[in-house]
Amino acid sequence: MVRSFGILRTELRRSVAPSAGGVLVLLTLGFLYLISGPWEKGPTMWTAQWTSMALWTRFLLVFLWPLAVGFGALQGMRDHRSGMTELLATTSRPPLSRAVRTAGASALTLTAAFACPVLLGAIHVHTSDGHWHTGWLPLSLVGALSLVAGSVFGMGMGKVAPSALTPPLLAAAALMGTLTMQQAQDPMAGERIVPLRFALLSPANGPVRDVLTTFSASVHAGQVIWLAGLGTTGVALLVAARRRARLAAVSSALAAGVIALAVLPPTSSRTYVVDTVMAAPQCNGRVCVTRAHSSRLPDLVGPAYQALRIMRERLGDQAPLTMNESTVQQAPGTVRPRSRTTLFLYFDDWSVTHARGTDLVRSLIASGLAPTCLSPEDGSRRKIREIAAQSVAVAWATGELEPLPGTLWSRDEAMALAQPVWETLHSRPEQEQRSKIDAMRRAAFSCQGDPLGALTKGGQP
Amino acid sequence: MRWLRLYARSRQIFLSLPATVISGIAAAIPSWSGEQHSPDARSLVLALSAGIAVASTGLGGQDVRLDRTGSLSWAWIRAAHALGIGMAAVTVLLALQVTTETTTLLVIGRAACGLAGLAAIGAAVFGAAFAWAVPFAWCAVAYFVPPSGDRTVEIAAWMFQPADAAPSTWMSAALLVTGLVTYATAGPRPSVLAR
Repeated sequence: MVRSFGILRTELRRSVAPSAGGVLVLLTLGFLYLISGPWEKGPTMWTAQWTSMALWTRFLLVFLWPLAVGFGALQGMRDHRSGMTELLATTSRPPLSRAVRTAGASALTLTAAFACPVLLGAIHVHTSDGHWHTGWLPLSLVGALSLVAGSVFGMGMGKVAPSALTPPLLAAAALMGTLTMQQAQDPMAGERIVPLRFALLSPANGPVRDVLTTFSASVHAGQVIWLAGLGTTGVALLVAARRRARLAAVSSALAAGVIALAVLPPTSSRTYVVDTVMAAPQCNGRVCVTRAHSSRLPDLVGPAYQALRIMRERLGDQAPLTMNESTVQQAPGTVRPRSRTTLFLYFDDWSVTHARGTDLVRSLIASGLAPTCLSPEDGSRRKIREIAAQSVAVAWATGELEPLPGTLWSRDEAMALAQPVWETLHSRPEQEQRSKIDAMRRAAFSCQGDPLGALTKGGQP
Repeated sequence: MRWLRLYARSRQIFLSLPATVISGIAAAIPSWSGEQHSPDARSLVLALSAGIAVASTGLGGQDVRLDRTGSLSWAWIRAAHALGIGMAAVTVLLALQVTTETTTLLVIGRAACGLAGLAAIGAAVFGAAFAWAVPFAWCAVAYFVPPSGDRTVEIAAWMFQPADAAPSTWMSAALLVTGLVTYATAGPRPSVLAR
């Protein structure tokens, strides 16, 4: 017992394992902390929620995994490099006993390397207002397992093909695989180069798009089966001495791959599921948000009730009664769900997440009176007309035309369009104003026609 | 000629060159399939890094210490070898006719210079067997840095920047010079076990 720990300790000092782990930690932390990208801003940033933290750290496997495979191959070639394969073959110690310790050293350091950013992220999420749940744990555990399995597989390959070219070739091939499969894993991917089921064999998921979506259980199961098979093949290759044993070793990964493909879900809707814990509604009267955003509720309730009251005064029984955060997974290019009785909130909308007080009230009235048909990132002329129509609608409700929050770049253009429309509308009798607003709302709710055009000439039967 | 052939064999060039060609072909497939006229510079640079990573294994021989006893001007041979790796990787891509755009060619050329320098640094610091990890890791990580005009990004992800990004070009040149000088003077780090 003591001796086996002694060997493990020596391996930890004298193998590639510690440097591989060190390189992986440096790359991960450098990437997450120093490089600016979607992982460090917005509601889906890596320190926002437990699931987004787990998914962003797994996203990095796209380059960590090939490196782990390559470093594993370097490790597997060590006996050959030092010209002692024949000497080792004469010892009575079983090859498995040696292999397990060498692989164990790598497994330890790589798991530690992967745990480092996860623990740092956990501290960030814990100190900010992330909602604790255990749904993220399988994500990170599969991530750590993938590094161990990849590195052991690399060791086996290095042992079987002890050429200096093996590590870079394996790493390059692995990078090509993780890259292609990561693109095909994206739920929003249009045409996939490889089928989704096949792409899910790669542990590196795509970028995080929202905090309410997670992998389904069958994805975890399939990935664990595949990675376990890959790791078993690695160990078997490390100890296999004859050609037949090597072929048998490869069969383990193949069999695991086939079983995993049967377990992995074929469609996007069964791969990415709504996280029921995070999406559970947290309500304060008629205003509901998901648990993921429950920390926003106290700030939101006041402006929300004010907006609901103003809309009630102006629209009467046609005003929305409740406010809910939407949990619908939305494909790009499609229109967000809308309802006349419920106002849907979106926390990826800048005007909802950053506006406070009266700004937030106006922003909420805008999405209650005329929900947008175009995405917030849209920069077209139509989007500017939409913002102008919303501004006029809010002016009709509050009595004052002011720029909407979150429309920085298009503010002047939208206001220039809105000003004359608002002045004409304001000069009309109350009844005509209401019929024009109703026409605009029909256009906005059906996403057909031009809401701003409806305000100028709509209302005539 | 005989010396050159023996040198190439001791540096495993007959193995690494076909591997470089294969990685180039993998990157060139999109441009041949006809749907895309030219593959984007990013995937070409990635293929280039794979080619250079494979070729960098030849930056050391079977026995580094034995090599040094030969009365040859090793510094020049080493510098030529490191530079040759970059040139070979570019030549493979050019021979495969991956692109005809000048800007893409400039990006590839710049990336080849810097990556060859990184491989040389890797060989001098860690030994030839480990040298591939340096250009490969840098390239793999930089691939995911979102493009922006930011100076930090232009230096950190220098190989993927547009051809007219001056800091990236300087970075590449600095890496090439550092690599060539270090590797030419110090040579590959001998393996701990080689005697």
